[in-house]
Formats: sequence, C-alpha cells, structure tokens
Amino acid sequence: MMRLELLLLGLILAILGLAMVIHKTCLDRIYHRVRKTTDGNFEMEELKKHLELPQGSNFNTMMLLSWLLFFVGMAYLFFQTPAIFQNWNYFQLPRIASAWYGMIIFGWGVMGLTFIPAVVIPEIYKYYIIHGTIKKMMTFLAPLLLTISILLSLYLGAIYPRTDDMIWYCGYFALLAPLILLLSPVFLSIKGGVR
Amino acid sequence: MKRLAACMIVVCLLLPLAVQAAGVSPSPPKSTPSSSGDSSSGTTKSGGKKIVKLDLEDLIGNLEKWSQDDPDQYEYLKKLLYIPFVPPKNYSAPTVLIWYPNSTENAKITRNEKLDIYAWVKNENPIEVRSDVYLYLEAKGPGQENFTRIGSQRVILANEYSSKSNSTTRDWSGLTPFLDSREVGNATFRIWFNDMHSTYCTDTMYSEPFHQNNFFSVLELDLVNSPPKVDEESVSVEPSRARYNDPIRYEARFADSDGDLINVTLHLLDDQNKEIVNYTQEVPSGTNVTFAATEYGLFGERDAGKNFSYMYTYGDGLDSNRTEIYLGPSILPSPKIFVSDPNVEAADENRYWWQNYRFSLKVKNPDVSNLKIDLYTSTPSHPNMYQKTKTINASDEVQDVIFDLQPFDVSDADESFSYYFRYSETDQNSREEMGGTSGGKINPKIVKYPIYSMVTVVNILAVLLAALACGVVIERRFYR
Repeated sequence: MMRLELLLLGLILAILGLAMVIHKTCLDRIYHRVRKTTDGNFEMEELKKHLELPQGSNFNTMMLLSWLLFFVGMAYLFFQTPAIFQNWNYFQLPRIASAWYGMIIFGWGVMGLTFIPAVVIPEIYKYYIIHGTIKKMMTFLAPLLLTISILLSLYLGAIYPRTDDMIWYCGYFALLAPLILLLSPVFLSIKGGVR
Repeated sequence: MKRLAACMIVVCLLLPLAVQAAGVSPSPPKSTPSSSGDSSSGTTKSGGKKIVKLDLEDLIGNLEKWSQDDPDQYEYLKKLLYIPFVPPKNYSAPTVLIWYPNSTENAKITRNEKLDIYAWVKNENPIEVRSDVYLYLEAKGPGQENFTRIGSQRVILANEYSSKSNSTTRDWSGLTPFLDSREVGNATFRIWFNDMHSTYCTDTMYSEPFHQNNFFSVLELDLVNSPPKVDEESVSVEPSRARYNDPIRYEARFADSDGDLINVTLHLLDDQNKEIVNYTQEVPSGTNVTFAATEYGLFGERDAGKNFSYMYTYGDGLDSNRTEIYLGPSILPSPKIFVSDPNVEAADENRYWWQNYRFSLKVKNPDVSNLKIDLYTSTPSHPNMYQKTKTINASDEVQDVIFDLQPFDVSDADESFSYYFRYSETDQNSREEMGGTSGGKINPKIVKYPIYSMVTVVNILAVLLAALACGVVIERRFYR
C-alpha cells in the first residue's frame, strides 16, 4: 500500500516536472525560431515580454488560489497521518495536531513553505492561449476538486488510526485531476497552443 | 644447676672437715659447725683426737643454720670453698651462627609470616672435650630495646655433631615473634648459648658481625605491613528504607594482604554526619563483617522518620583507614494515614486521550489536617507528570479522594499509562505513595474533532480564505 502511494506521489511530481520541461521547451523553440527569422539580437526576456497575454484578474486570482490549495491538499493527503510517512507527518507535532486550530496551522504552514512555487507557476499561463471552456473549468472546477481533496484528507485524519482506502483514492483523484487541469494549457501547447 | 651447685658445696664442705680430722686447721676457722648430737651422728676418739662424724642431713642442716645465723661467715665459707671450673686445655668455644635460608627473598617479613630460623653450630673440640650446648633464639622487634627469647630451648649433646664437618643445626620453625607488634621497622635476631663453660650471644661474641650467604651472626629483617583495604562494592546497609525494628544489617568486606586480623568499627552518623555510636568487631581478612541493628540496638522508635548515614574505620593494629560516608538507612516514619483502593476510570469505554479520567483513592486520615495528595500520571511521552493536588482534613470516616481531569494529550494516544498518588504523610505501608496501572491502552485515535464538526468547518474555511486572500493580494501586487 505504502509503495503504491509513493508511486502516486511520484506521478504527481512527474507531471509537474513534465509540464515545466514542456513549457521551457516551447519557449526555447519559439525563441530560436524568432532569432532565425529576424536575425535580430534580442534576449529571452524580451521575447517573453512580447509573448505575454493578459488572462484576467479573476483567472489569475483563482489560479493562485488553486495552486496554493493544490500544495495544501497534497500535504494533507500524504503528510497528515503516519500512514505513509511514519516519521514525516503532521501528527509528529501532537500538541498542534490535537488543538482545535491544528489544521489551520498545518494549512498555513504548508502555504508558507510552498509560497514561491505557488506564486511562480501561475505565471506560465500568460504565455498560452487558453480556450474559454478550459479556462472556466480551471477557474471553477480546480478549486472545487482541491477543496474536496482537502476535506477527504481531513476525514482520513479524523478517523486515524482507522484507514479508508476508497476515500484516500478519491482524495488522490481529486488532487490529480485539478493538477492535470491546471497544467492543461502547457500540455495542449504541444499541439501548437502557444502563441 | 642449683642441684649441681648444692652438691659441689657439700663436697667442698666435706673437704675441710676431712682436713680438720687430719689435724690441719683451715684459716680462719672462726666457728665450727655444731653437732646436732642426734642418734644419726656421733663422736669417736682415735689417737686422742676427737673425730666428729656427720651424715649428710646434719651437714645440710648446719649449712642452713649457718646461713641464717651468721650470713657473713657463711659467705666467707663459700668463698673459701669455691673452686673455679677450668675448661680442659685446648678447648675452644663452638661457633654458632644463625642460618636463615633464602635470606634475600625473605628479608621483608610481616607480622603473620611464619619464620624458619636455624642455629648452625660447629664444635671443633674432640668429643671427649665437648660439652653440651644450650641454645635460645632471641629477637628484638621494632622499637624494643632488649632481646627477648622466642621459641624454646634447643640442646646439642656432645655426640650430636656430624663426624665429617663437626657441625649440626637446630631449628625454630613456624615462629611468629612479632604477631602483636605495633610498629614496623628493623627486627633483629641473635642466638644465646651456653657451652657449660661460658655464655655467649652471637651478636657480641664475634669481633665483627658475620654475614655470608644465608649465615649471620646477627640477623636483621625488615618488618613491614600492608594496610587493610575495603571492598567498596561490598559496603551496604539493607534494607536502606526500613522501620526502626526491621532487621537492618550493615555489611562490608575488608581484606588484608598480610592476613592480619582487622579491627572494623562501624560509626553510625546522624543526618548531620555527627557520630551517634560506634561498635567494633575483629574479623579475619576477607570475611564479611556484619553489624545487625537489632543485635546492637542501633535504632529505636524515636528514630522513626530520620535519615542516617554511616562509615567504617578499619585497621590491622599498624595502619588504619576510614571509608567514605555512606547514606542509609532511612528509618520510615510511623504510619499516620491508611490508604487503599487506588482506581482510575475513563469517561467511557473508548478511552480517548482527550477524555476525562476519574482517579480515586480511599483515605482514612484520623489525625492529619491539611493532608496533601498529589496525582501523577506516567506515559512514555510524559513520565511522572504532575496533574493536581487535593487537600483533605482529618476525619474518622474513610474519605474518597477523587481527581476528575483530562490527564493526557495526543502523544499519549495508543499508549498504556500508570498513575500514583503521593501524599504528605506516611501510610500503613511506610510509604508516601500508592498507585496502579491502566487496564488497557489509551485509544489510538488522534484527532478528536469529527469531520462534520464546527471546528473542522472553521479549519477548512480558514485555510480556503487564507489561500484566496493570498491569491488576491499576489495578483494585485505582482500580476498587474
């Protein structure tokens, strides 16, 4: 069980890593094409500036919210109980864990630790043309699924040391699906979605 | 010797009588022995001369009478009759030396060491000239001014010498002459002997001290001593907490490498380390010394509640030492309260860590006002954790002391626990605490709030709102 959960964690990290690689590859490809055609002498930063597309304040806000929730959800699912990581889990801080505000501290702590990636990753959206439907899904469905994942993780913590595999997998799906949704502009760029 | 001297005097006395009978007058015969005139003696006349016949008893009686009546004349008579014994011509005194085998290895001796010392005697005189030799071994210990005889007399008859070397030996084996010595230092041996002609001592008869191989005119040894030692691990007082009339025993083991008897003194000290009393035993080296408190009457009822300490002093007569001061025993105070039935019950059968637990103890406290009872719980995460104190007053009735509280936190989940009550007076078991253990483990459940509780809603809302607020602020700050 534990090994499978680690593999599933690895899958999430792999998807993240793959998206970053694809994003960088796309930018590099555009950069080289533009340099060939223009014979110009300009930098990547300059190109990025020219490639930027405004996505809208609401969208940006929701993406920031979604990525913050994604990291919180991942921590709640994998690092809350000792079921997966015996020595690296939230219950190793018993005084906080047993306090009524324990999950708040845990959630805020995770947001603090993942603040930089949660803020940097949404910046990639400004280089992609995102279809309206996908944008709506990303804006509404992703936070909803992530909230569901967090709630399921809280439930798993509340019933610990009992476990419920079905709930855990549901929570994982509710974490994986928004991840793919949030990274879908990058993956779709392989078909030429990048501006 | 006395008998021999008496015979000589008698013989000598007979001579002048014989001379007188022959008409020779000894000078100065100021007095003549009077005849007793009894039937056993008599006078006869031969050729006009009066002959007095004395038997032996008359002679002895006269001598005794003379010695009392006229001591001066008697002494003069003795002087006249004394004939000095002249040794035969070419007679030489025997050579006597101390033979101490392995003298180099055995130059240092202890008080308990058994010494084997020999007299080596060589007599060059022909057997018909030799006389008997009487020998004594004499020793002078450290600090002593005079020699004293040790062992018994040894005698060598004229025919007991080796025909080849004209020598023989006599031994004094297994001697422990300095057993009671209170000093260490130089120990000197010599041989006193008499060859019927003269008396000699080997330390003075030779012009120079003789020492060759293991032969000595004067044997000098070094009397040494090793101080006794205590086996510190063996020092104990058992039991260390006891009632005053319990069989408390002090035990220790001391060893002396010389095998000396060891004087061991137990010093009983009060809590200020002042000596209360001491008792001494003499024990062989290596054996346990035991002081039983009941045998010596060390403790009484007045000592209840007091703490004592103790130490030993020990010595072998030459060296003495002391141990460090050891604690113990603590004499338990007399019981003031009676306690029973320690118990704990969880609020329900789930036994969650966040629940209240009800600890109870029955206490009969007829005398003590303001009796304090502390509750402690013990888990692997929180060993001996103080919880609460309750105070009760004296009562003739048995009182239930109850603590209803939440003693655990989340780190105690899935652990067993124990608890104990500690009180300010001594109970019927001479103890100040009583406790018990939990019947089972604390429930392993960690989070006490159900998913549908307000606390959970507040938690999730707080996280969501914080994330949203972060998103809004960051978007406005960095994305525009």
